[in-house]
Formats: sequence, C-alpha cells, structure tokens
Amino acid sequence: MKLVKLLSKLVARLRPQRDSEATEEEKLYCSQVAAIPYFLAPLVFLALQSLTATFGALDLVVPDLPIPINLETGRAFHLNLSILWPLLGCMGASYYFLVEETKRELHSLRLVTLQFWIFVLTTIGILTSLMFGYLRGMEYEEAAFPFHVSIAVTLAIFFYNVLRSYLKAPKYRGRMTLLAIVSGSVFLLLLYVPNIINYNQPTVSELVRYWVIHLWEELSKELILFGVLAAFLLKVSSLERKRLERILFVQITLLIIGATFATGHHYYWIGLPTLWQWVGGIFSGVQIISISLLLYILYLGLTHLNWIDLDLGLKLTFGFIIASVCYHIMGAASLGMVIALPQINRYSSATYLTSAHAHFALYGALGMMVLAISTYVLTRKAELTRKEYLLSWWGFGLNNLGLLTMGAALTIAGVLQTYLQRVAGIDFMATIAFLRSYLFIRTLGGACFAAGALLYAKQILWCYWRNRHYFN
Amino acid sequence: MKRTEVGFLVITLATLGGFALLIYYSLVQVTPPMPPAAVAGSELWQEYGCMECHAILSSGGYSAFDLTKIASQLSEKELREFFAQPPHMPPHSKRIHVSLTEREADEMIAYLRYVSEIDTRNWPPPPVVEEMGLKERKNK
Repeated sequence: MKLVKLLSKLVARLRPQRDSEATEEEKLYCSQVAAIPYFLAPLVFLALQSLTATFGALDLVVPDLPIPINLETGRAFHLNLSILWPLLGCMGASYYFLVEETKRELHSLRLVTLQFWIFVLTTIGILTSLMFGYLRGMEYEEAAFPFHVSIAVTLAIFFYNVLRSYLKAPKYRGRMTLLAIVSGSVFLLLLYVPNIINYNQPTVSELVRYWVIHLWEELSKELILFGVLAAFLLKVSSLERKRLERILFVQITLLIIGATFATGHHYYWIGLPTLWQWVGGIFSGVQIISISLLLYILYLGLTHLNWIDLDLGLKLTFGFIIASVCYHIMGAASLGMVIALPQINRYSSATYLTSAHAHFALYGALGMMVLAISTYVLTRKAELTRKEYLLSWWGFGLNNLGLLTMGAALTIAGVLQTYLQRVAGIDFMATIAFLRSYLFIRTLGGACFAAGALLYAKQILWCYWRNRHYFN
Repeated sequence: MKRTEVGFLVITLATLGGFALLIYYSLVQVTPPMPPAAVAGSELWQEYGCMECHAILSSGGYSAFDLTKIASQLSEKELREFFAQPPHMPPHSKRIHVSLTEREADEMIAYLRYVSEIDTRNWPPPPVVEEMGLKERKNK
C-alpha cells in the first residue's frame, strides 16, 4: 500500500513537469511570431506615456519649473497614447488568439507586419507633431488629418485580415471567442471613419468624438479583450468551452446593447435632446451586468486552474488579469455608473471625477488586460529568471499603487470640486487653488506609476530580448 | 452561416440600427448652421489647442475656466480686452495666455457666442445654493 501511495505521489509530481515540457515544446505559428511586435511596442509607449504625463502633471502643481514638457503637450501626449497603445495591444492579441482558436495561420503575414509599421510610424508622427504644437482640437484625437487617415488605413487592414482569417476556418466559425474578435475589429473601423473629418459645429464634433472616446474603449476594445480573455482561459485552464461560450454570448450581447446606448451618458449636456438622459442612464446599468459577468468568467477560470502548473509568466499574467477585473468593477463600472446618472452627472461632469474614472477605465481596466496578454505572449518562449520575476512584481505593485493613488486623489479632488463649485458656488479659481494639494498627490502617484511601468517594461522586454531566438 | 453567427449578427445590426435612428433624430434637432465667423473661430479654437486647458460642452481640460457660457457671462468688450491684453495663466507667474489679433478676436467671440447659445439643458448648472435661494425667494 505504501508503495502505491509513494508511486502515486511520484506520478503527481511528475505530471506538471510533463505538462510544462509539452507547453515549452509547443511551437508558435508564424502568424503568432509576426504578432510579437504588437506586444513589445505597447510596453515602450506605456513607459513614454507615464513619463510625459508625470511631467505635465508636475507643470500644473509646481509652476514655472524648467521642464521639457509643459502641461498642454504632456496632456496631449498622454491622452493620445492612452488610446493608441492599448489599441496596438488589442490588435496583436486578436491576431495571436485568432490563430490559437482557428488553429491555422492568418490570411496574410505581410499585412500583419505592414500594419504594425504604419501604426508605429503614425504614432511617432502624432507625438512629433504634438511636440511642435500641431493640434486639431479634438480631445484624445488632437493629431492632424493625415495621421487620422493613416490610423484608419491600419484599422482597415486589421479588419480585412481578421475577417479573411475567420472565413478561412469554416470548422471553427461561430465560436463566440472568434465572433467577439471579428465584431471588435469591425466596430473599430466603423466608429473611427467618421472621426477622420473635423467638425466645426461643436455639438456634432462632440457627438462623433464619443464614438471613439466611449465606444472604442467600452465596446470595440472590450469585445476584443473579452474574446481574447475567454480564448486565453480555455487555453490555460480546464474550463469547458461550451459552458464558457454560453456565458460569453450573454455577456457580449449585453455589452453590445449596453455600451452602444450608454454612449448617451456623454450626450446629456452637449445640445442634444433630453431623451439621451433616459437612454444613457438606463443603458449604463446594462453595462454593469456585462462587467459582472466578466467577474464570473474570471472566477470560473481561476477555479479551473492548476496553480502548481503555472509558470512565472502565467502567474504575472493572472496578476494583471485580476487587477484589470478589479478596476473594471471598481473604476469603470461602479464609479462610471455613479457619474453616468444624469442627476449626479449634471454636477460632476467636467470635474476631476471624470478624470479619475478615465484613469481607472482606460488604463486600469483596458490597459492592464492588454499588459496581461502581452506578458503571457512574451513569456511563452522566454523564461523569466527569479530576479526578473520578483522585479516584475515590484513593477506591477508600484504601478498599481501609483494608479490607486492617482485615482483616489482625483476622486477626492472631483468630489470636492463638485461640492465647492457646483453646490457651494465658490469661485473656480479659488476651488482650483484648494485642489492643488490633491493634484500634487496625483503627481506623486503618477511618478510611482511611471516607476512601476518602467521597471515592469524593462524586465519583460529584457527577458524577451535575451530569449528572442526561441521565438523564431 | 451558423446559428450563433446569425443570432449575433441580428443582435448587432438591431442595436446599430436603433442607435443610428436615435442619432438621426438628434442631429435633425441640432442648433442651426454656424455663421462663417463662428466657423473661423472654431478653427482657431482647434489650432491653438484651447481645449487642453479649457472645457466646452463638458469636454476639455479642467485647469482653466469652462467656456461653454462665457459669452453670456462677459460682455464683448471684456472678451476683446482679454484677447488684446491677455493676463498670465495661473498658477504660472511667467506664462502669458495667447493673444489674438483683432480679426481673430472677432472670430473667437463669434464662436464663443455661438457655443453659449447652444441649448445645453441648463448646463453648467447654477450652484445649488443659488438655485435654493431662488426657490425660497419664489416661495416667499
């Protein structure tokens, strides 16, 4: 009996090793290798974004400081990068998991590479033009007209490549993971095209702008990331596909309906009919149900994992996924819902509360999910050393601490601003002067965030660089 | 086409259709066309990147005044004086606000006036204390 017990223990110990060996031996498709740059560039852009944003924030709280980047440029850099690098990561994640789910190469590898370079050069062009003050006056989309055409071209290439690749795999068509990715790519293009043009009429300009600022973030990118997350969980856990796809169908249906009509919560005060106050308020609630299902999916994934089998890269990946889901619930859904109610929004709109929500939603919820997938992909063939692993967790911790500090400082500043300015009727300049200490804490949080982002990006990029030959 | 694909397509198209209808309904009610001077002013607004600090229609920066209703709060003379001799931008003691030529000031004022006439459903709201004071006075 003892011998049997000993043998079973030995087998149990050997099993995870065999599994991990199998994973190591598993070869990447050429398309997945071609998508690797899509995970490298976002890490570089994130580091750049956090640095420039910290300089911009510093310029506001410590005026007349001789720093290279002022508030205006830092802000424009920060806003543009905050939507561009997660987009690049989403595209890479779509390609990577499209291959994983269809079990075949993408329609065109050349297009993957061409699209990447057009996108990266356009982003560099946008940043350079912003440095020289070429603005077009649409917040988050400040760059000049040719850059918008260029982004639209990359989106068209992306959509074409994704759709053709999907259609070429008839056996797997109808999978919700794939449908989420394909629909996300359609929405990205569809919602961006009207934004290429500049609108002089301010109401129309705002109406169209939110198709990118709201719908890109809360619909297109979410569709892609929900599909990718499901595909990832199916890959690394023992979760049953049928069960997950059923939940995913409900989640994505609610997401499409909820996020589309919840655009209305940006239309309350821009010169559009009052009807939007009903539409925006009600459908913001529907969005919350969809996000709650994300929590349920994560719970299912975590309960179907064999934690002993997880390699260091996967542990980090789950760290980011769990953080992302927390920010989804806390910042994007809860705070977002509160300030989306017309009765509250009337007073809280255009205060630092909006800024707090944007930080949690754009980076906490979306950015962290993109970083999770980047970490997963970049550590598939490259094993992190113990030191890199520990430093990565430090980077993750500092980054989260920074984000939470910024979010908390901005939330308090927003609540105070709402009360002082919109309730007590205190003068704007007096209110702003009162908020300076909170904005200073925000800047400290930003510096902590930047340190974490730099540390993390350095570890992962260096780990990839050391092991780059394994990816070929 | 598979069943899931059809179902998914129907839901997506129905949602987009509904949203498009609402957008169309909203756009036909949008404030009348802008006068040419206001159009030129809007281009100036974009060119100078004013929204990095100021907000209009609840979008833009929070570090300076919201300008949605500024043209109804300040007189044309006051606005013209501001653009001709701009003050420094607090909290900065050295950085001066951008100045505009006379023609540019005309265009910018036309734009700000146009914006202030947009029906924003009483937004930005008057402070609650003022609203309450008004109500009390009415009741009396």
